[in-house]
Amino acid sequence: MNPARTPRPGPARVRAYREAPWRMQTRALAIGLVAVLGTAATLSLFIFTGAQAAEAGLQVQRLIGERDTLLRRIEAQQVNLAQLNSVTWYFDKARELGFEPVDPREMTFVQVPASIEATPSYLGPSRILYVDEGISLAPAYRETLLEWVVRALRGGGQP
Amino acid sequence: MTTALGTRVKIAGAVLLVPLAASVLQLARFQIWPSQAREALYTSPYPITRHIETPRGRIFDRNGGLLAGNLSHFRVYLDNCQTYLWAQETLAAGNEEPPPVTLARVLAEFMQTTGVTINIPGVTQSLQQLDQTLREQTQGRQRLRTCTLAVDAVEVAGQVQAIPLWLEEGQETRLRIAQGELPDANGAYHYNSILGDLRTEAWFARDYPEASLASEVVGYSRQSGDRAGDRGENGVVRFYLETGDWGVESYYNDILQGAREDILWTVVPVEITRNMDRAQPPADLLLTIDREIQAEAEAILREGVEAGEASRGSILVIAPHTGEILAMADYPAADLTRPEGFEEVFHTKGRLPNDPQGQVTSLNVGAPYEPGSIFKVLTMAAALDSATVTPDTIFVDEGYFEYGGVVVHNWRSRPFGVQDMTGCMQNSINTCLAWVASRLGPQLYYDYMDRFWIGRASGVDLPERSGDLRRPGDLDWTDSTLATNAFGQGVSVTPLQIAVAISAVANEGVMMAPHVVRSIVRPNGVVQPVRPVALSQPISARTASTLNEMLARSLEVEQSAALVPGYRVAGKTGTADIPPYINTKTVASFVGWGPVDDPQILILIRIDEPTSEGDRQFGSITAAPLFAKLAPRVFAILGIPPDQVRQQLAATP
Repeated sequence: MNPARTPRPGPARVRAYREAPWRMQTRALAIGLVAVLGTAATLSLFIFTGAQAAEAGLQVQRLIGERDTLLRRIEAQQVNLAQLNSVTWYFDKARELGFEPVDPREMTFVQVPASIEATPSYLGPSRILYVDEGISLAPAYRETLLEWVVRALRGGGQP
Repeated sequence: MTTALGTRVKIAGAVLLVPLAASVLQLARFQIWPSQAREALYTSPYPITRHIETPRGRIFDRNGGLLAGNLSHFRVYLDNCQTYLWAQETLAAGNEEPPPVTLARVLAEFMQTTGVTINIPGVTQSLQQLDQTLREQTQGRQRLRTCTLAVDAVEVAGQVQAIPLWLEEGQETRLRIAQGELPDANGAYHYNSILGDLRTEAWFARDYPEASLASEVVGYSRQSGDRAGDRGENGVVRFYLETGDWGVESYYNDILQGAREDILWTVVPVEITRNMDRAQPPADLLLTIDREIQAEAEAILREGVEAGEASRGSILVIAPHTGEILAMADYPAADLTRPEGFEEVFHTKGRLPNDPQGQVTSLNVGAPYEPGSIFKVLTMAAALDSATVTPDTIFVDEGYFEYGGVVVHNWRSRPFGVQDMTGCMQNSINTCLAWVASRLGPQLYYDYMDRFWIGRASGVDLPERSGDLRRPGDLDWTDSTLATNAFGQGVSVTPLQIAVAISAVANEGVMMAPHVVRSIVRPNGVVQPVRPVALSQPISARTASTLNEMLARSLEVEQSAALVPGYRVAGKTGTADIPPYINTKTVASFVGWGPVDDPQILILIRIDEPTSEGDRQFGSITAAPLFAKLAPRVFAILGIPPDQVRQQLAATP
C-alpha cells in the first residue's frame, strides 16, 4: 500500500442539512391531523353513545308511560270484573233461576286424603309506580322548523 | 412539491370536514325528519313537575274476591290559559277584529266532544277573576297560565270554589281522539285545533264493587283536600288525600294509603331511569271475611230485622279456633257507592235512648249494649271453673232473690222451683245466676271477668269502642251490682267482645284474638300472614267441655228454635232491657256455636228493639231462629259435614 496515496486524515467535515419545508409542514399537519382526528373520534364516540343513551332513555320513558297506562286499565278492569262477579249478583241470579240454598244433609261429602286447601285466586300486588300521562305544550315548543314553516304557510292555528 | 402539498391539504381538509358534515346532517335529521325519538320528546318537556300517585291498596275477601279497588278518572287542564283569557277580554271589549279562540269557545267545544256539562259563564267569570287577582298581586307580571277546568264555580264562605270536573275513561278517550292523539273507530286521525291546549291527568278513585256487602268491615276511604296547599291557584283542590273513615280502610290506612305527590321529573334522557319507582306502593289486604257467608248473614239479618219489626241488628260469625271473623253484618248497612246515605244509616245505628243523636258506623264493634242473658254463660263458666258449683248443684227458685239490698226477679217474676245448673241456663233464671255470683263473691267474679276481657277492648284490628264493667272500688259499684252483672245487666259489651269471651267455651277454654285481616300482601309480593294468637285462657278445657255440654243439652231439652237438623249445637238466648229502662224495648240476642264436639263457628245475633207483639221481643223468638237458618248455610259453605257423616268419615280407615 502506498502511504502517499493514503488520504490524510483532515479535519472533520460538518455538513449542515436543512429539512425541506414541505416535510416539516407535512409532519406538523400530520400531527395536527392526528390530534384533530383523535379529538373528533372521541367526540364522535361520545356523541354516538350519548345519542344512543338518550334514545334508550326516551324509549324507557315511553315504555314507563305505556306500562302505567296498562296497569291503570288493569286496576280499573279488576273493579269492573268484580262488579260483574258480585256475590249479590250471583245470589239474585241464582234465585231468579230457581236455585235454593243447599241443605248440608243433602250434600255428598267425600273424604279426599291429603287434600290441599284452596288458595285464593289473587291477582298479585300493584307494585309499580303510576304516573299520569301526557303533558302537552303549545306546538311552537315542540315542532320542528319544517313543521313550523308548513303550519305557518297553512295559516297558523293556536299559538 | 407545491402540487403534492396542495393535494395533501385538500385530503386533510376533506377528512376534517367529514365529522363536521356528519354533525350538520345529524342536526338536520333531528330537526327536519320526524323520528320516533323526537316524538317522544313531545310528551317530555323540560323541566316539569309531575303528579305521581300509586293506587290505594286493594282489599279482598278471604277467597280473593275484590271488596275495594281503584278506578281511574281524569282532571282536565287548559295550558296557555292566559291567551284564551286575553281573547275573552278582547271580545268583551268589543274590538273589531275578532280574537282567535276564546275560553268560552274552548269550553263549548270541550262539552260537545266529551258530553259533560259545564256552566260556561260561571266558570269563565271565576277564571277571569282569578287571573285579575293574580295580575294585581304581581303588578301585572304574571297571569293564569294553566287553568283547571271545573263544572261550576260556587261561592263558599265568601270564597269562590270550583266544583271539580272529572272525566270518565270513555269521555277522556273521546277528547284524545278529537285532539288527534288516538284514531277514531275507523282508524282515522282528526285534529281539532281548538282543543289543542287541553290536557288530562289521570287520578285514581276508590270503588267498592260489592256496594254494601261487608261495608261495616271494609269501611270507606274519603277524599279530602282540606290541608294547607291542597287548593290550587284557581280554587280547585289540587290534592285529594284518601283517608279511611272507618273499618279496615281506617285501621290500616297507613298500609293502604298510596303515594300521591308532585315531584320534579327529570326529562334528561340519560337520567330518565332515575324517575322509576320513586314512590313506595301500598300493600293489599286479604280479609278473613268470606263474602258468601257475609252475603248469607246480611240476607238473614235483614229478614230477621224486618220480621221482628226491629230498628236495627247485627250478626257476627267467628271461627273460635283461630279468632278469624268470617262475617260481620249490620242492618242497616251503608252502601259504599252512595256516600250521601251514610249519615242516615249511622244515625239509625247510633240512635239509642240515652244518645238519640249518636252516630255509629258498626254495631258489632262500635255500639256497646247491655247483653242480658247471654252474659250468663260467663257467670256460669266462672262458677264451674272455680268449683263454686257443678252442673248438678241444686237451686230452689222462688221467683226472687235478695242480694246487696236489692231484690232480683225473674222475667215476669216467675218461680221455677227446683233446678240444677243446666235448668238454670235452659230457663235463663236470673235469680239462679245472681245466687251463683253471690257464692263466687265479688273478688273471684271480677277476676274471672278480667280473664274474659270484659270491660276491655278486644284488640280487633278495627276501630273499636269498648264496653264498660264497674268493679268493687268504683264509685258507682255496690253489692247489688254483682247480682245484676251476673245476668248481664249493669255491664256493657260490644257484640264482638261478648262473642270473643264466649268463644272460650267453644275453644277448650282459650280465647283467640279476633281479627279481620288474614294476610298482608306487600308491594314486593311477599305475603305476610296474620297468625292466630291466644288472648287468654279464662277457664280450663274441662270447664269449657262441661259448659258446652250443658248448653247443648239445654237447647235440646227446650226444643229451641235454634236447633240445626243434622248438627248438634250449643247456645244461649238473651233478652235485655235497654237502659235507662223507661220502656219495654229490648235487645233480643242469641249466641250459638257448633258442631258441639268440634266447634268451627260461633254466631252472635243481636236484634235491637223488636216489637213486643207475638212475644217477638224475646231472643228465643226473634234471634234464635236466625241462628237455625244461618248456621247450616255456613256449614255448607265451609264444607262441614253433618255430625253423622263426620263420624262415619272419621270411622273410615
